[in-house]
Amino acid sequence: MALPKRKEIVFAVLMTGLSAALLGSTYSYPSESVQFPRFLIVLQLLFSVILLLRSLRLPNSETTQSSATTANRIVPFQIFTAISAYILAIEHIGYFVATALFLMGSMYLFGRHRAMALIGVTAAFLLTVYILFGLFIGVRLPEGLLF
Amino acid sequence: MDSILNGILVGTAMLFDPLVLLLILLGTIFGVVIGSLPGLTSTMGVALLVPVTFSMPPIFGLALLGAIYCSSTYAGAISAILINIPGTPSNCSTLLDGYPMTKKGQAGLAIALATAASALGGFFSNVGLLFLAPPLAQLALLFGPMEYFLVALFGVSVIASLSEGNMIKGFLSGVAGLFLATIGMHPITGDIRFTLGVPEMFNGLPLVVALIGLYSIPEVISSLMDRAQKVESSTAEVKGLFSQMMQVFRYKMVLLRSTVIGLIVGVVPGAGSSIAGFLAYDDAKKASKDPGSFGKGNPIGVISSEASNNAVVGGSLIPTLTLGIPGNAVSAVLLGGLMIHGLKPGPELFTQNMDVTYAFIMSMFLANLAFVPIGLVVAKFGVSFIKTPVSILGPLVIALGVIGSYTLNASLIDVWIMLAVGMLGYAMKEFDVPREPLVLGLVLGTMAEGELARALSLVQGSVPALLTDMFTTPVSLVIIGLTGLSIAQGIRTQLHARKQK
Repeated sequence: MALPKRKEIVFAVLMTGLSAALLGSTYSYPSESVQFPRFLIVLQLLFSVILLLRSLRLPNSETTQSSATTANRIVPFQIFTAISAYILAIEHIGYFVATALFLMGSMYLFGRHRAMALIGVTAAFLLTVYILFGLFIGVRLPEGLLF
Repeated sequence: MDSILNGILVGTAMLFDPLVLLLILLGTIFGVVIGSLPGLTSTMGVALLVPVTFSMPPIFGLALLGAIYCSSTYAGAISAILINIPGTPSNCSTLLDGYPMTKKGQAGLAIALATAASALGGFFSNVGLLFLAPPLAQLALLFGPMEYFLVALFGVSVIASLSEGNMIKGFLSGVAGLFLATIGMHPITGDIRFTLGVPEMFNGLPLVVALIGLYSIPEVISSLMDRAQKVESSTAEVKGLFSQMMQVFRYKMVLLRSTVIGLIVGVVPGAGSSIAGFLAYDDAKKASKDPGSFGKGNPIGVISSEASNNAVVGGSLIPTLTLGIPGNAVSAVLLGGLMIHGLKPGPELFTQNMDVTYAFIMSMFLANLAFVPIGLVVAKFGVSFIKTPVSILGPLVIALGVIGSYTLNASLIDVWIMLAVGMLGYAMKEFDVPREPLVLGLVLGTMAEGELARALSLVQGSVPALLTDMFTTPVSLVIIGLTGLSIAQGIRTQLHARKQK
């Protein structure tokens, strides 16, 4: 599916800027260690510029009705925030408590409100992880104040 | 030839011990569990059980480890097909058509075909191991740094095929992947680059963690944004899995070509089974009468990837057993297991230790058969699992990704990396940039940079001397020829597609 012209230009500009910034950053490393990455970044800059020129030549497309509603647009933000909070929680309150909170919280957030389902799924997952990863494979999972 | 046949008879006789058969079964089940869980690799599975084999007679230990190797390589296809996360890096190419088949309500068929293709690919590569080990081992010795660099370039040429519809974005993605692979220590000078001061990144971006983030998070976001989209599945689909498996025989040429590709890639030490999957996929696509259907749920995509990545198993054992040069990380661990049991790689293995060696190879044939019924049982459960509402499945997939990422190095930094790559994957999806070239770049980048640096150091940094070597060595010329053909074919396909529009 072809993207709207504006979105193509935004992407091309972002990539061009990122490539230029990365190219600049390579000069802070010893030159013989960055020959290959520098070559790749120059290639990337070249492709980005080609993409930008091609995007500018695209016909002006009508603004297509996005299938994503405003409520849906918030989903990526919710997911990234939830995962970030989950990882921070693992560090401070331990893996099992953090995972229980994450699973029940995110299932509730995305529409599952039955308590038995939330508790059942969470308990089954944690038990599986404990047996498989904790006991069988012997992974030492981060512990908190309780467990 | 007589000695080989004699060895086969002696080796097969050793397998009639019920304990050996039980260990093959247990190893297969363990391998399927390890392989199907994202974050756990075949290397990890084999390494975990090497200490367990210390007290066992050699054939018992080797049969167990061989079964884990075969089944874990296959089992990564299950999660790739059902939830779009490759269980092991060797199954990256399987999700290209495996997951679209699931979305079309053909999850059972996809797993059945993957199972059959893996079994056949592994089976025939073991035949290669039995009968062609000495000449193929010589092939491994012909590969030096220059040849490895050219193999990486050949792999990069596949990007053209993976980015149909927008080659520029495909190449951008591939180059980005190659760049991400340079994060960390330079292979020769040891200088640390682009790590943002994070010590855990000194060894580079962990591939498994990147795969989990790149595929799991964007898919969970898409599914939650579009709750109306349901993965089609029906109980009728899980009936007749055996007959669905038999459909693999409609694609005999694809099976044969993919197996040969996997066998050869496996023989080349360090090339890796991920590369084999992509090369076989690309070859199948180019040979197909309908290349446009690839990436949209074409069974050939699943068959080619799985046949070739399991064919790597037999191929990788050729240099391992004959020369003591491991074909990949898993065979390196297996080599350790061999040596612990007092078996030295080389000609002696096939003469003085003929009984154990041939018994080990014959046990791999059994292992390739053993994972078939186990895989089909998993298929039945897996197809039911994906009917779970996305409000439950989404958080579970994320939690699985988190524990998988953490398990690799017992580090939360890897989980943060998974999240960062997940955000990148989501952005790529939003801007319609294919992710597969990025994965290919990540897989090939370390090899490309490292081998280029080594090749240059061998000619004292002289680029003209390097180029002279490149165009005068027979193996290099063959690889350059294949790369040229691959690029030409990719451009021809693009021009043909544009003409049709």
